Amino acid sequence: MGSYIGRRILTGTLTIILAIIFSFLLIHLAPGNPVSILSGRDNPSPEMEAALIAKYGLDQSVFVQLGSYLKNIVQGDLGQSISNNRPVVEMIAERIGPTLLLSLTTAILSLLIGTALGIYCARSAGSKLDSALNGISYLFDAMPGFWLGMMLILLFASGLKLLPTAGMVDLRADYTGFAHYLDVLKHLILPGLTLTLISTPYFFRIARSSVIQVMSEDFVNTLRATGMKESRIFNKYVFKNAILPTVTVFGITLAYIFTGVAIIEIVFSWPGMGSFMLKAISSRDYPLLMGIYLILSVSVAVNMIIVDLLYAFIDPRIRYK
Amino acid sequence: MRKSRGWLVLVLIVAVLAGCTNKPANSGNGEAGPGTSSAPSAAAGEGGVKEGGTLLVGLTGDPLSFNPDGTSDDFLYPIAQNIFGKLATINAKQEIIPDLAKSWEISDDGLIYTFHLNENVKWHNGKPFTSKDVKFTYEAIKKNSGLAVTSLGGIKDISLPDDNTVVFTLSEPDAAFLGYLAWYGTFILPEHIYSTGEWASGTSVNPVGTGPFKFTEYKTGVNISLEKNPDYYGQVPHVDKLIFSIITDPNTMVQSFYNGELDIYGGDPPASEFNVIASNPDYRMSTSLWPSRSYLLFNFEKEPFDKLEVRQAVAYAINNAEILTKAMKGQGQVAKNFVSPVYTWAVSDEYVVPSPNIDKAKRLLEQAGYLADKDGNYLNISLDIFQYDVYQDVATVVKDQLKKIGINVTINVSDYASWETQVVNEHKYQMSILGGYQGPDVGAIITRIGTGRPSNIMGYSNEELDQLLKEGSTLVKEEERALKYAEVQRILSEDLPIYPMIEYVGSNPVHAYVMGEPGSEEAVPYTSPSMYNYVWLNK
Repeated sequence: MGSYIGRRILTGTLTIILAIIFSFLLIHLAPGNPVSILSGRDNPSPEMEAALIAKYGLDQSVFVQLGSYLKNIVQGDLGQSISNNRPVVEMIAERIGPTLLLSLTTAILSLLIGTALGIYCARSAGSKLDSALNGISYLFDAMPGFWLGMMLILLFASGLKLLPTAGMVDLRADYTGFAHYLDVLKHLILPGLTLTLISTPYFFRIARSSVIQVMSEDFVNTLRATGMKESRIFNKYVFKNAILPTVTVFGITLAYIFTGVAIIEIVFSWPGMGSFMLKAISSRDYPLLMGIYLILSVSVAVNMIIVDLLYAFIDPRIRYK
Repeated sequence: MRKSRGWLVLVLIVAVLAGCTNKPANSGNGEAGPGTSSAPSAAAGEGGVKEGGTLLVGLTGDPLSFNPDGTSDDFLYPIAQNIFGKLATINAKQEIIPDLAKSWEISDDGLIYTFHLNENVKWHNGKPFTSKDVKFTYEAIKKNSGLAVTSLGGIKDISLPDDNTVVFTLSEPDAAFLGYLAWYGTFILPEHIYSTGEWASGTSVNPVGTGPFKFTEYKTGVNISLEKNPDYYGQVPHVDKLIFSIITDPNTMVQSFYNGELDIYGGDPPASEFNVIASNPDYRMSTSLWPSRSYLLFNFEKEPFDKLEVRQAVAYAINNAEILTKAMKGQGQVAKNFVSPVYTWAVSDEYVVPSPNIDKAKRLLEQAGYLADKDGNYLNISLDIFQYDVYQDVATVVKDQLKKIGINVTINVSDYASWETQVVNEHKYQMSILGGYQGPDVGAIITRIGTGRPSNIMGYSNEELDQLLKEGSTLVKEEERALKYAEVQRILSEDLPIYPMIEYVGSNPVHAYVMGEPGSEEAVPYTSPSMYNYVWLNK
């Protein structure tokens, strides 16, 4: 088990390093430079541009820049944002909370709802409800998140006036204490619902198909032949086998939600890393963008490691391989 | 059974969450919350100005820093106008009006500008503001390569006869000087803070200015809050609090505005919503013509636009009125002149853009040596634009219009940074679209058409034009300058390095209960376009 964990952590670290090098080169390959964007087109100032280029070492080759970047992150320094001139770590720290709140809430809700519905449908496979939910799952799966979000805003915010359109708090009311948490919850409903609706189908389909598959295996038929109750067969034998793919998918989906949350955050003006990332891309703010990529790749890698460990914990066959 | 009970719990949780949201959100002072949509009529305010309340204004992104003189920052600009002051400022009618300086004189030779400052002005922390702060600011802009460093390069000396007088001496006359000083990157900074702090970071996230509102809070991605400055030397704000709410998506912003979460939109609504807002009595929209225009630009270094006839053919093919209605949904104004019509004194009615004439356009293409193929096509070109607002729609209408004279257009859209590299730096394009501010003086057009200037992407060069632009900017009297700029317009109409399409008309929708907004009659003589000290809430 020890060497299994060690191997996982080693590959995870390697993945992160490769991801950093790859994304660093990729964003520097993209045309455009942060300094002339800062200077603007209306009344550009060559003096200002020259001063900034020297300050951020943008006149050096990409490989020299990559070298010093890697050296700095080993020392825990993610650098300064070029457009904001503030430490990247500080800027990300301000934004990561709302992103985690939204993505984790969504991940947990869609895991629970999707798996529960999937298992329920698998056990009554072929029924009207099963076909209906199956169809709906494809519908939401195919729906673009930003469009669904906008529709929900039109319905629940602009139309029914039940929920706020944007943001995380009611700026006019400026609640404190418990009322503040309720206010955040109220603002969380629409973006949370949007993300949950588009992420649930994954869990639904995985749970449904793996339950159906396990239910048709020989050992289940054997158990049935012994006269064991259907509910006992399911709870004791089928569930544990069928849940393995869901655990894997949860890891992948969590990574997907982390990155996919960006567009939903922009639609709902949720103050997470989404709009932040978009701004960093369009302004070619290399250090900030790299900081965000670093956080994303670390969280995806950590995620995968946890899933692998969980997997080994649930299924003893894995850890002996 | 157990599973269905789990479901019930989930449903209950959702129901409880939904239930919480039905409560009307009441703000502290008993005003109706954002959920209330009834808009009182404007007539309700006849009793006079109502003091107090919180004003919410939309903002499309986080400011880059809180140093208003550092870099070009569209997100800080509206905030800075309320926190800081400049010597003079520019109102919604593009007039230069007094701000920290109550008056000024310009010497006959145009070299000496004397500003008389308002007396007893205090910084937000209570320290007195003096002419020393003014001198410090201009020196700091120069030393740190601030945004305005290039346009203020003509300052030779700044002297301070007393605490309330500042005298600028220029190395040569510059008719645009006052405009640049009133425009952007010239907010007066407190010496007692900036002399020890770091320039680029704005010293801290706690800006201290002399403006009508004081900074209170910044939550990244959420809001910037200001409170009224009761010691302001001008009109003390009517509202107690001014909150900029950060909403990056324009579609969400417009829904937020409709939903009453914003009192003032804070900029231009998306073109698709322009008419919806304009025709709804619950909203009001004051508009103002800006010296900003969208224009087609041609690459002089590449075929086919190195040929004058081809540029002329395009000019005869384009129908600006159609672009305005189809692409801009009526938001803006048809461009007729080769300089911005804001500067009425400089506009020539003789040299204007030609009226559409398809036959003439085709003849010009033939004169240039192009022959029509069997489908009637003379040539294929590409139009490279960046993703911005309605540019894609404008490009589509242009493509359609050029098709009529036998020019096949391929539209390439990229993000700004890529476009900049390809078009601005490498000149790898044939035709493009650009807009942006061409003020604060008519002479600012030099940055776009002067030989070798940063925004002269065309690679266009005309010595006579350069000479005229130089003379136009060093003369002082408008009558004399107008003669030079008439010649500039003649040359532009002959050479056609650019083709002006649409004049930008700025708008800032407000709910009908918002009074005294920056574009309103009572506020225009005293405020710049995002200053909210005259605003009061009639509800």
